[in-house]
Amino acid sequence: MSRLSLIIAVGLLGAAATALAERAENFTLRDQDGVTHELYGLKDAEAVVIMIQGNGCPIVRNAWPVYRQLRETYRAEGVEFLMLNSNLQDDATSVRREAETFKIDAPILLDEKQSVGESLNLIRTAEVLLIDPGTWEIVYRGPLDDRLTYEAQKPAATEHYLRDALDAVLAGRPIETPRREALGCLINLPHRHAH
Amino acid sequence: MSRSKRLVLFALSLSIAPLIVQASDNPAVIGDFGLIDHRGTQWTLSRLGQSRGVVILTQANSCAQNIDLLPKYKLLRTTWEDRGFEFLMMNSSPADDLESVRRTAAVYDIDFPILLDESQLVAETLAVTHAGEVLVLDPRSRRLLYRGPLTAASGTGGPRGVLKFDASLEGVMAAAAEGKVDATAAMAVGGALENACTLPTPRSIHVPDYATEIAPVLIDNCTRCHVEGGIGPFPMNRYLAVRGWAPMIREVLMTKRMPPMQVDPHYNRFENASYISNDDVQALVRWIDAGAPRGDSAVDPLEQRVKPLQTKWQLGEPDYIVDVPAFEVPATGVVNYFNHTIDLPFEEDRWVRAVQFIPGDTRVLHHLLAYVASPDTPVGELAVSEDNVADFLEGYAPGKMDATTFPVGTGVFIGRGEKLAMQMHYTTIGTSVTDRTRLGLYFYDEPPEHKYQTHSISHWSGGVLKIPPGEANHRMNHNYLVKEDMMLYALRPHMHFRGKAFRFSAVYPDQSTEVLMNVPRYDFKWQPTYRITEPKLLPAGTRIIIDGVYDNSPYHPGNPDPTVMALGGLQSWEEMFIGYITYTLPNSSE
Repeated sequence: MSRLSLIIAVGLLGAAATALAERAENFTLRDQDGVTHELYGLKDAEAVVIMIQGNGCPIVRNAWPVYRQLRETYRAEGVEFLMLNSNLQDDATSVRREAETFKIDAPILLDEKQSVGESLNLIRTAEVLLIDPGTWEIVYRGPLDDRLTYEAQKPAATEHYLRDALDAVLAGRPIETPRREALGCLINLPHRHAH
Repeated sequence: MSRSKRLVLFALSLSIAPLIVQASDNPAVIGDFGLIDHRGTQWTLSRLGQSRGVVILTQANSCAQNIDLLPKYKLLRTTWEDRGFEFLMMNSSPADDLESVRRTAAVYDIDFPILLDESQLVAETLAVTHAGEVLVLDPRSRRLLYRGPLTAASGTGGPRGVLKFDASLEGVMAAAAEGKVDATAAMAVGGALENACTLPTPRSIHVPDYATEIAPVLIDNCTRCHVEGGIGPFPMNRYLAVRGWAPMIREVLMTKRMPPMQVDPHYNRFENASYISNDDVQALVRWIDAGAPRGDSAVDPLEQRVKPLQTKWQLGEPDYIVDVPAFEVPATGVVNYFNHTIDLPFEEDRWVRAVQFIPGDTRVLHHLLAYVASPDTPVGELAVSEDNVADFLEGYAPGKMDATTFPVGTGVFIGRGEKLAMQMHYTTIGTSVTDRTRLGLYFYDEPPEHKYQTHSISHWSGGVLKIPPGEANHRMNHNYLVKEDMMLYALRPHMHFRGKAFRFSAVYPDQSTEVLMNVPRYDFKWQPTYRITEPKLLPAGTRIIIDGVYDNSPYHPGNPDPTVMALGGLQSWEEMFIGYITYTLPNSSE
């Protein structure tokens, strides 16, 4: 028996396999103000960005001002910016309160059944997903930039992952590193394996 | 053994492992964890990113067969250590403790760090059931690359008497040494274990009940900060909140990030340090791994019993209230220290008996240090220095809302004309807020017997502090000779973002030594003055030693810039090395 045959491939469904082509399924969800959003209804956008939000996550809260700035820059180029909350513990009332306290004026889609979070293989909040509406492929997923980490932040970001990915997509160039490990708060999706 | 049989066996061994909540669907992916070794050093998997692989040999003191593995494990280290691996051991036996592990290490001349898995949770997470198993972990992707024996089965793999390591182990080491481990690599499983023992059964394996076992632990350890309006970013105010945050709670417990301000429980006791017992951590993680069940109790103690934030003067109206100047905290970003010196109106000397801080906004005030400054200190925004600080008064740290009363017969002296200098550190929360903190002072009517005072042991200046870029274990030390008998009341380590570990020790006049305090995971964001529960008399002639370790690698979260030499300086992106000691001189006639 060769040495290699001893090396057993265990289930590689996680980060590794999803690093390949990964499509976002369509979904329809209401936001914190009761407005309904359908992902595939945004087919005419140049790109769709979704930041995974969760009440109370310091990384989400500190990333929001930067996310808002990016929205101001790229909205004119036809990029849609959304947020998605798949947290078990949050609901419309608490998300609305969080949005008021932290002056979040982006739509936060409420995934109360967690099915969208499961289909998008969410692990942590503060992750950003960049979706190409031509194919609904997730062309980048990972942190917004390298400024924030657990219980600490740098004075300034030196890497701007989402901005660079947006520039690449808008210019029709491939994204150099389409997957990065997100830093944020772990999302409890208790039925993740049941489907 | 056929490939399919191995797969089945492997699947079985995984099925007894608890559910690894936060990982992906790949069972070889493990959560981050941190453990303290038998010498007091913390090892955190994600911080070992400069290592090609982390090799762990599991051990138990009662397993005599393990001893046969030691020379072989040393040989593995000799063969591979210059290729960039860490070689560790881990004790997960509920029958062993620090003392017995230290004895074993001394008797058998074990020079590997032995990680103390005192709650057995790392063993459970990694499905370790035997002492004598080798694990190889990739610190960057946090995956298990190999598990199995150290050596090939006797009689196989070469001439008799020639030591042969397990072929899969060597294959994994070779791939890792060349950096050929990527996110798609599978875990290798070696042959049958030799010189191994089954680990003793854990003391308890039942799933704890939420209302009677879990909620009380949270109330005792967490809800002082995790309360509505507290510095904890979310309140633990009901079952559903805790269930939703359960995977995150697991991660911060396993890495010892929370509760913050932990000190090594094996050295002295500090009344304001956050200790959490191994039993409590075990209960929380077992409950989380079981899916965080609600249980049968009709009552949710978190909805019933959480104390609201203290906003009152606990000792009554203070003798004097200082209104700290308002500070505008921006929505996000790193806020530099805010220094402010103000006049005090006292016409005569004062002795402070007690102090209380009431933060204006507990969500943003990260810490506040108050000093007595000399009369010629300019009022305004100037950093206090050793030239004009007369004494340290008291500090505020998150979760500490109570008044501090100095020990009986002692007080902090504020001379006529002296001023109050404050250093504040704010944390950003995602929205801008204004903080207006108040400080209440309570005075003695008559001067107390002894002056409660603070000295800083330091030599950050003068070009001594130079931490090379990328260096993950840069060591500093300094010492101070106690000239007259000293009653030691409190200690505070101070480093900046790159600080990794800090230790105070004493060498007594008879040359015996004692570790006074060990902070194995220094965190810039949490640096209170730790008050010793039993004040300690240090006789004249004692030498106090401070040891600091800095991590200027990219694997230290929040390192402002791992590509530059870090030099000594006052700003937080520069570095400092100070050990503060707070004491009285009981035999002094001051």
